[in-house]
Amino acid sequence: MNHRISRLLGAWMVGCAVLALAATYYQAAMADRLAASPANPRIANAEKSIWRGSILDRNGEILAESLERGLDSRVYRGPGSLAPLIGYAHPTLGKSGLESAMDQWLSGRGWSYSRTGLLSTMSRQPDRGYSVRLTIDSRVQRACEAALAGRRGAAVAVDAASGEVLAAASCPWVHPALSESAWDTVIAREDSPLICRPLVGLYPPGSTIKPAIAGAAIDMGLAGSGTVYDCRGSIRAGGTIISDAAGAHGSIDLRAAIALSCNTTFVHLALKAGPGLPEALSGFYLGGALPLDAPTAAGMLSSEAGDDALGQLAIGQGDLVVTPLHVAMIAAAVVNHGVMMRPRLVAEIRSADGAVVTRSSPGVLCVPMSADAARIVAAGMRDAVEWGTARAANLPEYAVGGKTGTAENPHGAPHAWFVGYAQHAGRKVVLAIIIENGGSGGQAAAPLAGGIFRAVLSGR
Amino acid sequence: MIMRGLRCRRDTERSLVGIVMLLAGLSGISLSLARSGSIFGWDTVLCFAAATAFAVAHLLLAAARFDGDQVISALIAAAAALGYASILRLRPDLALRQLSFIWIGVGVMVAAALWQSKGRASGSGMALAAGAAALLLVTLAFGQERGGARSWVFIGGMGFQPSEFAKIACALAGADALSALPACRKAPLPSAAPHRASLGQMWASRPVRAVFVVWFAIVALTVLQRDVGTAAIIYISCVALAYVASGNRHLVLGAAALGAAGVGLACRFFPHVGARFAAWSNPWADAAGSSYQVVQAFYALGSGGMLGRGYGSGSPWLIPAAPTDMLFAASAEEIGLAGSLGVIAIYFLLVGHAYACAMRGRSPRQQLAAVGAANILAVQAFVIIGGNLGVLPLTGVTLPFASYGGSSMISSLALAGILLGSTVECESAADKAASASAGAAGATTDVDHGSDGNDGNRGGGDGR
Repeated sequence: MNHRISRLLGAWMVGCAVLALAATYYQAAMADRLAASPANPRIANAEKSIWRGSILDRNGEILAESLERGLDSRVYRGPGSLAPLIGYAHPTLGKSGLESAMDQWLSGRGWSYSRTGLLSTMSRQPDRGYSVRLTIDSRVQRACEAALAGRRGAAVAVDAASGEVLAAASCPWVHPALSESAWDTVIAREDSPLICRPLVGLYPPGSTIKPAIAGAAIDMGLAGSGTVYDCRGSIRAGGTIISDAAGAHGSIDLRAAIALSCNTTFVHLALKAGPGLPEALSGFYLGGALPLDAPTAAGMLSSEAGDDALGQLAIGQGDLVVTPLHVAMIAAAVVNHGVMMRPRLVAEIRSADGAVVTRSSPGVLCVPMSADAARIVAAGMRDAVEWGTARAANLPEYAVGGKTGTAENPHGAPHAWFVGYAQHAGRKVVLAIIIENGGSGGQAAAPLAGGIFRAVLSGR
Repeated sequence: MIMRGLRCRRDTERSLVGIVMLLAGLSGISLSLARSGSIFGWDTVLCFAAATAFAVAHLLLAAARFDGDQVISALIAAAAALGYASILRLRPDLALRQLSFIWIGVGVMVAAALWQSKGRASGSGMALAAGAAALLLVTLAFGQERGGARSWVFIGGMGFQPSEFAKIACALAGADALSALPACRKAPLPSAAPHRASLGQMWASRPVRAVFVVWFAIVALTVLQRDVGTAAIIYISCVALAYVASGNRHLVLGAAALGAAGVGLACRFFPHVGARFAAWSNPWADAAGSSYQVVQAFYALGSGGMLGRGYGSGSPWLIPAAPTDMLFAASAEEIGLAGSLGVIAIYFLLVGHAYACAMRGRSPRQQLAAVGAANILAVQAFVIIGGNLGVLPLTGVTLPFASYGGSSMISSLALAGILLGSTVECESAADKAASASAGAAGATTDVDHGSDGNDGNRGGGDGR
């Protein structure tokens, strides 16, 4: 009988091994995921006892703070146009925007969800969350807000050399306190005031794509500073004829083609580039989402290389949609010698006692074009501001370059675009502005750039 | 003290229970620190008082010159102390009741151990089992429903579950009847082929036939009470016991097939069983509904992590039925993987040691009684820990010695008493073998043969 008892003993050993493995699976392998899951009721309970950290702008101005423990007392103090980016933190509505993306830190769980066994009985857990300091400059943000002047649209300003996002204005907006009290009304609004347009709004870029096309064409050897194209005013791309509103430009070099936004030249270059063009554009991150501490939308870039598709791609129409941040980052690469820096929104995380826990540092995201190509394209954008389509953006005191866009869309009048850079005393700032259904980029968007550039570079 | 005049023959048990008391006191201090900030608070006293019951059991057993195993009761004390600390932490209002259940249960354990060790239990299994079946029938008619199962009897406000006691009766009845099988005898030589009993041989024996019928009746009645978890525990334990006694593999295969069919039928006809199976196969599909309990257990386990959050820092009350069915997961949040592996280790050692003792048993009846008791503890611990961990569908059974509940605590400790009583002489036999010279080995073998013969006669007598 004993050998049969020993078989039961063997079965029992196997059973206990299964239990030990299962315990290890849930308490070690899956532990962090389960502990941090938003559906874990401990998270909501812990929030009630935590004094949520503040969100500050780069100069320490408070954008959002809590007056007491729990989520009920969250107060938004920043510029209204920043509200869609900061988002809300509410006990029943949940969290959005940066309040959601940085929640681990703000609620004090970021460093480690304390599981220190019996030691934690002795050592009290931290009851204050970490504060998050952004790269956003409230002054620049307010300048963007003033430029948009209540029109539907977005403006985003980035420091090209460091990748710091200085402003991300979205219009229209609602104050987070209002969106909490009148949630149903806010949600029902057709102009989507909760969407953070500069980071997740997807628009056809129109002619603001041309600096990227020009950079790609130069690097593919299709154009250079000396090459001249004879613009006849229209060109056939597959089944469609694409023409220039201004008529034939005649003999035109690449700089002038950028300055005058010559559709014919760019369609010609795109057809010559063929399937290499979508590939080169995806080097500008247009086919994906830019990495950032806040949610960003992925651009849609078709790899289709038929003549029709290439023709539309060359003028930023067709299937292509990107965010204003994408467009700004193209200009950032142009003015930064072809190097696209990683965009950054969070400057540093501080604990409640003021100690810096992490600090972000500049990093290269990608190199979408050569320095030579960037120099030619930058000169073309400078020409556009000096005597081309973007004259309205010119400022006497800074070296400003730019490109306008007038993007056809199915929702009515074309979107008015401006993307540009301004250089002064070693600083390089880029800016992308879109006015939804605003009409001509040169007339509706380019005149808004000056005030914003001044706000950044003058320091006032 | 009391022991001074007596020759203490239970040194091992005394040291082990002492260690458990120390650990219980430490967990009480940890609880007390977390809740009231003082080292010596009510929590400390209560935890210590729970472990003290086993110290008293040790003194009583030593005074009665009980010479059974000394490790089992210490392991049970460890399980009870850990469970008690968790219940104290979860529901301080239940702490005094649970403490009294432990003390009553420990008294029952000592009584059952002495009763079983003196051989007085012999032959009573069948009567107990018949009584249990009758009680289950009464429960089915007049019982009350709790958690989908109609398995509760209330007498004067105190509720208890007869199925808890039916488990013990099944093990005892099985040991009585099956020990008559010739397959239980020790092989005369280690090299000889082991005895096996065919199904026909087993059915030919009247006591075996009778015990099969009673087992079937008890399992069927428990299923009809819709207490499928307990029914499964009794069924699996009894099949394993019959296998040990007979060595018949067809029995195991047939029982497995029958069990699978039974589970299929239960899923079909009892909605709560089907729901629990669905919740088990994909817990995340309906995390807010049918599998809420399991998913909350997963969150508790994950939140505990490796070292746990410490007593007083977790939120174990978020799991429904935390002090009873979900005690393992609830305590795992605060004691961590380290602690829950410790709990698994306690049950592993307890059952493993019980099987080892059963192998050294004096007679087939004692061996089978030990195996039957160990089977029930093993299956019940596996079913409920596995249920907490998502390995098995969750059933409403308790973690033996740890969960809150009078019926569960007292019946588990009574079963432990049967187990203890069935280990009598196995240690002294080992001592004898160790101390005896090579020349005395023949005498020991004679004694074994003699006891086998006696038991065989006794079993035959039961049959008539």
